Amino acid sequence: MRSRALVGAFVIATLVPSCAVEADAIPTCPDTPPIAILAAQAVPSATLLPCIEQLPAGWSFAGTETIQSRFRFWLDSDRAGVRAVQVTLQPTCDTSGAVEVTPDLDEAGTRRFERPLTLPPRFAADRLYTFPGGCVDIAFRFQRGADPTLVLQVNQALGFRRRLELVRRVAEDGLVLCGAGAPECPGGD
Amino acid sequence: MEAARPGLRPQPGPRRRPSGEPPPLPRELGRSGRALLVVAAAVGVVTIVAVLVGTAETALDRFDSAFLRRVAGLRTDPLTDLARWLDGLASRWPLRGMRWAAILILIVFRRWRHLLVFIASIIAVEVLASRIAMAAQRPRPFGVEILTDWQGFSLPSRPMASLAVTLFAMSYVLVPSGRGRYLAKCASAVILGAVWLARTYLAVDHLSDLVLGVLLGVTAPIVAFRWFVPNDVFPVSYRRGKTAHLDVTGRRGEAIRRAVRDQLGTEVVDIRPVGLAGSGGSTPLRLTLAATETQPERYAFAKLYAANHVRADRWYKLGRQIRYGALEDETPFGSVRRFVEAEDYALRLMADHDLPTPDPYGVVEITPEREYMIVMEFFRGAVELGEAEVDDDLIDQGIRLIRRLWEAGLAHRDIKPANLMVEKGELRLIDVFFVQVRPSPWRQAVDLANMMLVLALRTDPERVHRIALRNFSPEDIAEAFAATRGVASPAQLRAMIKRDGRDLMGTFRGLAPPRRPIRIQRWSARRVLLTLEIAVVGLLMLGIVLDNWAVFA
Repeated sequence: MRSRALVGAFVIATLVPSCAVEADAIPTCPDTPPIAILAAQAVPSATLLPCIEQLPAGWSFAGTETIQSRFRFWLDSDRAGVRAVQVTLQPTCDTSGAVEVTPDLDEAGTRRFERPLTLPPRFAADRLYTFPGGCVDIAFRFQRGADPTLVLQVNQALGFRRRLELVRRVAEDGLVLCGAGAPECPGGD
Repeated sequence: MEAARPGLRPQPGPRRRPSGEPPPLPRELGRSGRALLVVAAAVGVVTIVAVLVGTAETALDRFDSAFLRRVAGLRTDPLTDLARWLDGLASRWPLRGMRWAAILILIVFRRWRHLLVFIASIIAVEVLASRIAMAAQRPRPFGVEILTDWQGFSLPSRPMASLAVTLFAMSYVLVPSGRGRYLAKCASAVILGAVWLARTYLAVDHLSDLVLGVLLGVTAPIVAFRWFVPNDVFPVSYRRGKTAHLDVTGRRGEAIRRAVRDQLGTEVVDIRPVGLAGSGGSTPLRLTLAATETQPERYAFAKLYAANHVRADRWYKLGRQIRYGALEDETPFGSVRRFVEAEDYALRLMADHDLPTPDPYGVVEITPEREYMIVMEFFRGAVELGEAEVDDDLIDQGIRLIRRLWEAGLAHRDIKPANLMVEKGELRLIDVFFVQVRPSPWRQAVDLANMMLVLALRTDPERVHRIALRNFSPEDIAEAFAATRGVASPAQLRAMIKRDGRDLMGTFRGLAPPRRPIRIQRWSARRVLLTLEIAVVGLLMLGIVLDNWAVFA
């Protein structure tokens, strides 16, 4: 009886994680995972959606949180720490205090802003991308002593997906992904 | 053997139940049980479909989308405002308000078992809904504007699951069974229906999301409360007193009548619960037996035992083992059958030793392996010792009773006013459930001290001590009061001593020769491991609650 209770408790503790964060839905760029569609539904005005190209060694996906008007995910690093990077898609964001820099070639169609917050040993900075209908805020919050050049790895890991691709993909199933690039949906306010 | 005892005189004679005939109270699922099974099966099927469906390219999505677009055609500003308000009922603060209110009420009324199951069922539903959502990964509805806030994947509808489990669990833990609970469930269904319509109107969930959400939220509390806190055993009541008693009206009442007629060969005219306040381990009953050619109408005493009493006994003994160690070597019973067999044996053993206990009439099977009833003599007109006039003769009877228990190698282990009756000047001992054969010397000593304390409550310690010396040596009495402290006495006796106000224990110790206290607490490797085991389980459970604290805070 008692051993059953003990085993049961262990099983429950193992199988029952916190229900706050969705840890298995990875917004990868190459394919069309349901989380990408959900992200597009969260911010229907956004013409671009952040996604993960390929995670470098030492980095791992830490979960997503999707609510109406916001899509967010985190990356963990064995060197930069837990949730060292937070990526948030919103309709708009505040760029005050940030310096605009030239975007990379694969960031065409966006305006890029950098806002350093603290220098090493505890590096922290925000990078903002604005584009029609949306904004992506990449928050770097490295643990003490982490090398700031790890940001370069994040640059390689993250990318953008065009919303139009998702609209087309959903339309192939006879459905409409409401928002930018799609026909107007009924029932709006 | 039964015919040789006074009391029951079988008139038509006991009747053997032939093979294939159902027992007096067959274990049936009943209408709600069958409905529950159907619901559970539906949950299973929908869950599997949900997991298999997975992504957007499905016929289900197209159907849901077309339906929601039609509903969206009905939208007007006032309707939208109403739908948003209704949808707010399933949002964070109303849900948490209801949950905390229920938790506080359960704490105030010290209904710990209900509290535990309430919290567990809410966490289970929230976690299960979250896991299914991650497995299915279904986006929000397509082709229609969503007019309210949402979070995460769509299947199942987590707000609906949360609201359903909260409302139904509250019905089970706060509202007494019967019409009140039925109405509470109906009200819950109406609220769920309204929120369902609102969320459909606002196009935030698909139809199938809502179905699965409600099924999850309704099934979990029904299963949990039927399994862990069955109403028969843990009824919700706002009256004082113990509640671990079975309802003996309705089907069970009929079954008891039929069982006594068939198995003991006598008719039961009336069944009445008696002494419920003093009994938590069984349901004590007074049966009125029909007059026969040779005997007038008379009473019998019966104790109804069910599987929950075995569980309660197991937890009680586990608790004692952790708190006091293995001094008493208390081994839990494996089944209800063993429960009644042990008590029946104890009654017959006491009778063999000519101790003044009730004559046993036999054991009656109500539901095989789940419910049994033991029937015995009823001391008509007897009063509890705690309310009787106690003279020297009665004190002497009490002391000699313990002497005879010692000589027979027995311990009663529950000597308290409620278990000592006075019938026409004769002292009777009832409730032999805890009787132990060849008990530890400590246990026997405690019996003596408890008897002297009970007698002193109605008289004075000096008088009881003087009479006790006729049958026990001063050393025996010194040992008794060295062994007896706090928890060694039954709770009722401790409460009465406290109310009495006199230092009875101190007086008895002063009258006896000095003796060092006998330790109650005994440590062993088994006790340490057991305590650690329980602590680990407790911490794990606490961890699960804290990990999912967002459900409540």
